[in-house]
Amino acid sequence: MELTKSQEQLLQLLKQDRELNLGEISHQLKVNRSSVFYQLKALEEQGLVKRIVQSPRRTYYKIASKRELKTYIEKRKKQLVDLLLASRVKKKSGKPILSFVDSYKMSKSYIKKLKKKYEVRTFPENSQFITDTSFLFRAKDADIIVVFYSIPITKEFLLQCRNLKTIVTATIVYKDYIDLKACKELGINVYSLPSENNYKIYARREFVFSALFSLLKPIHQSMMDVKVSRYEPASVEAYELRGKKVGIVGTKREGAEIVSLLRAFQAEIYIANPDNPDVDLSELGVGKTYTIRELFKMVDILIFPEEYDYPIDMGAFFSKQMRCRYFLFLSASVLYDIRKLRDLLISGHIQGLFIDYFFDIFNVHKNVSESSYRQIMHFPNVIITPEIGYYTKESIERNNKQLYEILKKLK
Amino acid sequence: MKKKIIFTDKPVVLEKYVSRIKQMRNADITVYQDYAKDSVELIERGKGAQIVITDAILPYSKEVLSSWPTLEIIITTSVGTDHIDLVYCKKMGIKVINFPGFNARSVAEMAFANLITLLRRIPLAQQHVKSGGWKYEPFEGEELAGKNFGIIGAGNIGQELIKIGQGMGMDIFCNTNHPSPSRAKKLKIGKFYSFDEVLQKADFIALAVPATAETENLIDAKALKKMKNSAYLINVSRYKVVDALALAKALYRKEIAGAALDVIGPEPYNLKDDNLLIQEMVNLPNVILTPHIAWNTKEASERLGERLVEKMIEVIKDSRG
Repeated sequence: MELTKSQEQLLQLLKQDRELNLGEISHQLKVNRSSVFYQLKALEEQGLVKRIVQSPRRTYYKIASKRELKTYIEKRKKQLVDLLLASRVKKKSGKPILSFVDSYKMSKSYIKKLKKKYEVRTFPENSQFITDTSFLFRAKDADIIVVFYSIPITKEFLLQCRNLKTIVTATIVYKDYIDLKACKELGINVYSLPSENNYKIYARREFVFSALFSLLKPIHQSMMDVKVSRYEPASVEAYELRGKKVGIVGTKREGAEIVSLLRAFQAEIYIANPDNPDVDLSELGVGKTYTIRELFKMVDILIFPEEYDYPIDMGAFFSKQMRCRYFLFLSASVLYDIRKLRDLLISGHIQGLFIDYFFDIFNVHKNVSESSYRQIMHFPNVIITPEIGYYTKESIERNNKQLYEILKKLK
Repeated sequence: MKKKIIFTDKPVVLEKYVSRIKQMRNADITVYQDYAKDSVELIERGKGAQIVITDAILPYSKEVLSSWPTLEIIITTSVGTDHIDLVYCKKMGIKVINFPGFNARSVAEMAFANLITLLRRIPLAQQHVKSGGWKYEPFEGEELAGKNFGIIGAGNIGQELIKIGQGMGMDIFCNTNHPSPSRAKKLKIGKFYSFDEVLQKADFIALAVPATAETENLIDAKALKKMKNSAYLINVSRYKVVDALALAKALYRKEIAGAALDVIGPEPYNLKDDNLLIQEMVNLPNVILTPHIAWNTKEASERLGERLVEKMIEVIKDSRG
């Protein structure tokens, strides 16, 4: 069983420390949490790593014992062989098989066009999360697979898909969940959506404003008030965005877009670029950048709109002395101590919190029930949404179009 | 001689401004801390006043005003004056003071906030997560960039909406009663459009007009039919501008895509007393109704408080404040 470099690194780390949680691993390896999670999931599926839920708040990972390893591998092998034998599907036409293996939705008009070139397989199950065995079942006879949700594509998986020649990702980022080295070895081409014409940037930048206003204006609470015949306009506590000091962490993609839009609201803008503090932002009309620590002390509202190549551990920045009262976590890779957040929300030091991203999306239900998330999500000044920032009719249309263009040109 | 000044309703300005007014020399101040239930109670509260300070809740009709023979000035802590019988005031020499523009930015931001909240389905998504769900699929949103933003009215609020819409990359289609090429140029909108053009072209229509005889039921069944099926209506002006029943019917017939309303009926409003169809409309997932809160931000309250104190100093002509 061959491992990727990052998986080897992970195992090496676990060998040293034996038991670590996701945050600790992410911090030590300086790799974002979602990436670590996917690698751990792959290792767990291979039986190399075990997940231990010690208490509702503590989940650890450790290397499996030799005995556990052997049993697990035997069991998995049997499962896979059974599945492959049971699900052998014959090709109906001479066309290459194009399989949409997860919940990605392509519009009917594009599917119709693609059917001229491919034997297209879509699956009726409309589930956001699929199991690895279903994933293999859907992919194993295909010549081309389209992947949207980041299920780890390992060498073991690729070896089961004997016809597979091409993987097309309906995402821009794919390096953290596809074993590219294995793809190269096996002669499998990988295509992804272009980053220069980012399909979701408009959706995500506008979502920042819907999140901002959800915190500054008590729309949801007011809606509920009207429904129960409570009509007290004067008792509402709301704020204008104009004139507020807004901090933005990161200006590679969405951050830069948000800067220009915030000008329409006459907000004061402060930037931190943790991975490139010296970048010239004069084009954005920003003369100076700050550290995240400085932003905590300077701004009223702090927005984390972008994903990063390494995690930002904000635990140390939260304090009762900070000025910042509103936080918007709209991306992966931001590490926050949820218990500290909860305490500051209770004490009134944080007046509003918006989260659109759980780092551990595949286990979100477990996380929600196990952690302080469940507590804070019922606070009136906390809004948590299920990663919908990018999800608009228009962004999906752009995504479909870009994906179709790639599939159309494939030889 | 001291002027008798009465806040006939619970003041909407912050307590610190009420205190400053109370400290003014030559002023005998009475402050009520709730809203009068009806005109009978309102008449009782205002007896003997030379100056009354009110919010736009109960109507200051001829019946009410004629019961206060000593009244010289009405100060309304609102932009609109549609709750006051201005004809009677003019006839009787009663001065009416209002505060145009103090809340324009807050109202414009609220119009935009309501729109974007509606488009991105935030309350529904939040409810879904609270009940243990984590699916993005039911919450497909819509974007603003590149869409047509219709604005009816180019006053203080309309102008703020134009700035926000332009900043968000929307194409502006504005209608006003006072169009001119120079005004359009000043607002950087190219030109003004007729009311019907705005209805037909806009993806989102925001109403920012005062309540007058001319604007009553401006958005009626006929106007709603002219709108795109995919269009959204946002009302941050007065309730009389929209025929709520016609709107409810249009939403059920899917003649328009959704509505965000900050006002819906005469105040103090109680949804339970309204038409059943309107009560049902409020429960639709594509409708947002808030209790006339668009104006009410901390910043607007501060501006209103400052301006009220300044005005009081002016009318009393003596202050320690």
